[in-house]
Amino acid sequence: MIKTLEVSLGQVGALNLLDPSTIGVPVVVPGVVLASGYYTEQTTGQLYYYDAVDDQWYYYAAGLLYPLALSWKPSPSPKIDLVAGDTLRFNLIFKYMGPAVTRKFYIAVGNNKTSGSFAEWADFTTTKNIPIPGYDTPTLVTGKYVDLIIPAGEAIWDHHGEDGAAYCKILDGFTLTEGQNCTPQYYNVCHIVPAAGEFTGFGITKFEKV
Amino acid sequence: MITQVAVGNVLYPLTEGQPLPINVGETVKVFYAFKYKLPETTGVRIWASLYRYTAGILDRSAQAQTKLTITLVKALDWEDYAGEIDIEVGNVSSGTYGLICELPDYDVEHHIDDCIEVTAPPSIMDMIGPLLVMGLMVGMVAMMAPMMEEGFS
Repeated sequence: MIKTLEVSLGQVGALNLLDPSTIGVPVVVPGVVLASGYYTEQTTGQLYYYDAVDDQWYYYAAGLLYPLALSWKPSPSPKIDLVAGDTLRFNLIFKYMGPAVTRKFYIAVGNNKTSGSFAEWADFTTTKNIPIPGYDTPTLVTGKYVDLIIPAGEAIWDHHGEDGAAYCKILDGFTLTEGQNCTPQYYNVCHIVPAAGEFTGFGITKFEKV
Repeated sequence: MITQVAVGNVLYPLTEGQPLPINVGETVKVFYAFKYKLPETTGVRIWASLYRYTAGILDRSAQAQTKLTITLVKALDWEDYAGEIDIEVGNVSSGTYGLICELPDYDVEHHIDDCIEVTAPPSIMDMIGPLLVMGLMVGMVAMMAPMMEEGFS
């Protein structure tokens, strides 16, 4: 069964690196652990500071550090009950101006909370290459979507009965900027319906009079 | 698959047509086993009953039935479980019964037809019935004896 979630990415376009409010959060490859310290983006030379204790990125400008984070917002859809095999469809709405391109969209479901970093659930992520036509003016693009097949087995059993959060982003960037290449982190997106038990080989092995 | 039954310390091969003899008031211990997966530690109901078929329908005897709840710990991979459940055979009539063990909430069961032979104690009528018949017969003989003597004389 396909269950849909409407999400908006905002405008997909060039970043304005001069305004700290639009600076994105640096992307860390999953599995890579960073130490606290300053990091420089190779392309622009922009300096960032990472606080490993609080998992917090800062943008450095004019001697000051500005905290960077994706916001947490309530789900744009009513909470969706999910069982293994369901399809969670992320309907995407965004504005785009520029030449025709193909972008790799990434969606993830993870721990449900209202602050802090996003903890993705194993096997609850997927990517999809989506072609975007060229536009001369900012144009609202609709009708694009990414499907996430809810996994079976241990992947869902690890989270049965839990509520989940979700977000969507466009890969290949150095930073994530909410409203440009990333959605807010939505909480109360879904609920994993508790799985029933499974039994096999049930049998009477012997009986006796006592 | 049941292959044997134990009576005391002796194991007997179990074949169809050789039911285990049980008297009313005695207890049948049923051993069962299965594999399971459960997303969290859960209480699971298990029932064991003697049964007969009534009009072709498996009819559990409430007088020879035990209902328990066992606790199964969380298992994300197949986990073996083995247990036992006692059925005290209550006031049921004599005859051959089947044995069923089931997890009613999961529609899982195993049953064996005609594997228990229950013997109920004789009722009052059962006990005095033969005496009544014998008394009646003695009475009839006593009534007929003088008539027979008259016939010979």
